[in-house]
Amino acid sequence: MRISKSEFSVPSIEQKITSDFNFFLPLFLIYFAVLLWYLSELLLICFNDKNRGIQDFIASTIVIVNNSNYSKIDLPIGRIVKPRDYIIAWFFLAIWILPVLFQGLTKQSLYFATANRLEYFYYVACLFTKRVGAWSNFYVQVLPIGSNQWVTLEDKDYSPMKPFGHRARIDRILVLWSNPNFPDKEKQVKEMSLWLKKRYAELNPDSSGLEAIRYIRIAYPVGGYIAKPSGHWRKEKLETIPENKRYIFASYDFNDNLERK
Amino acid sequence: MSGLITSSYREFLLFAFGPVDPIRLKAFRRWISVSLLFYITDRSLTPYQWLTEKGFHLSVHAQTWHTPYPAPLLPEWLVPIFLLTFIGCIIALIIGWEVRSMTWVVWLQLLYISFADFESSFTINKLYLVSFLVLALSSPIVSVITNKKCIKEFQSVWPIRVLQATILIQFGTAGWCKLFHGDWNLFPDTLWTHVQGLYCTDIAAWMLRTFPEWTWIPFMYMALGFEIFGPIILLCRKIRWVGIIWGLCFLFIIALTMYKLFFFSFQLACFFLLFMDEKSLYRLYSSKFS
Repeated sequence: MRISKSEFSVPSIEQKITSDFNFFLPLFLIYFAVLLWYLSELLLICFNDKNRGIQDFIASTIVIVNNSNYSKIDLPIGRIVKPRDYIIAWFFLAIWILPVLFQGLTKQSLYFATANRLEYFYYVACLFTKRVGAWSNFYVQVLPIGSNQWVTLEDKDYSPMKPFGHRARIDRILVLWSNPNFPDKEKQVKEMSLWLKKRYAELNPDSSGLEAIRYIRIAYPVGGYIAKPSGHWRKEKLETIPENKRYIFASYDFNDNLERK
Repeated sequence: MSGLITSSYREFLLFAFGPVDPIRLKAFRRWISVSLLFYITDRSLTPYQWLTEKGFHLSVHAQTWHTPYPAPLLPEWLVPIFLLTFIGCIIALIIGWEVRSMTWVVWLQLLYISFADFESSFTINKLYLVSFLVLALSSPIVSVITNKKCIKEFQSVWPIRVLQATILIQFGTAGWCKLFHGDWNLFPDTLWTHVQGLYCTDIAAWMLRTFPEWTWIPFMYMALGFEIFGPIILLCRKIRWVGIIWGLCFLFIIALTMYKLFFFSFQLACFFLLFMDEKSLYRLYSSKFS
């Protein structure tokens, strides 16, 4: 029943990449040279002992011309800007702007964020970065005790929420398991399987329980059928998909509490 | 030279902290709250999946190392109270009632949902978290009487600068990632492969069916072009309007062709208010904010 992954793997992107010259690099070098120039200007200002800092600024006055009624205001800056503003702004620079910039540019996590499991909050930009070879739909099937017929679970009963895109909420976890190198797969398969078993018992009180559960992926290579869709992305009934197109990427046996090989 | 540096330093402080009319931040607060209302209303259609044990949530032992520590889930009886409070506070922000305290309540609730349900929290949550924290900590508005006996309001500009920097970094590093951590410069059809997938809307499906594959190439390079050059254009006052129109078109196409990314596009579009000049905003909103 289990289909080897190679049958479904689409041509890898890396196979197509040649050593093309990255023509955007010079543009970005110019871009960052300008930014660095600005930064160096700022550093010069900061290390210049002639300026007397924020206190002088707060104590000074600014003339504001109000064009709408032709009036002028001699505004003491200290009425508007307090030392509190100065501190909070630098706080945002340190805990938000610089980490987000660093992680966005390097795609590497900062130690202080990793140590607190917070680096997730700093990844805001690396979205849709790579060409996709194939898109997938995920299905969950259960084997009730005393039956030899696998039953497909309906999304509307187990995970009706669609946070983003036409995919169920739990699909976000299932897509991680499709990666053979995903480290926490075993623990996550166990947790989700036990949760689905409990939910199945709630929805089917007459059932005697479940023997096993399996997770199936159907891959759709881009450029094929999905390149000319008749409507928005849909999840077909699993029964309409030939068995040789189903890839079982995880399973769990409730009897021996071991992942089914 | 030192005089020049000292005056530049003053210019920098004025740029980063100086007094400005609060209209931009008020407009941003109102519209980011409207976008949040749409987002939370959508999430509230399946509230028990989202916030209680009726939906699957990974425990701390099974979560991947880089995900945040999960917050405890809500009991079912608390969900309606939580959502009504959430939506009520957002509406209060839209109409401008008890702005400061409402912003704190909304931020705390955003913080909770981002930790309680990692599975359905995305970049949109992170941008809301930082936006509402900046709004909550923003400096108070001070009224000044001018020599023509008019009352004018002022506020320190730093919250606007932090939010502007956030969105410029968001767009700039998105372009950077596509080039140096992705493959947008190696394949001309990367966008075409993205619209075919699980984000495909009916409009995207019609476009895929109707137009040849190459029509996605200009869309792709316009999107990439905005992410790379948009931040620079938005920094230049004279051509800023080009960046705003380009950016709005970019976000509009995303909202049309990618299912449920409407919320994200709407959220990002709100940030453009921070780049508009005060006169245009007063013209747009007349006296509603005063």
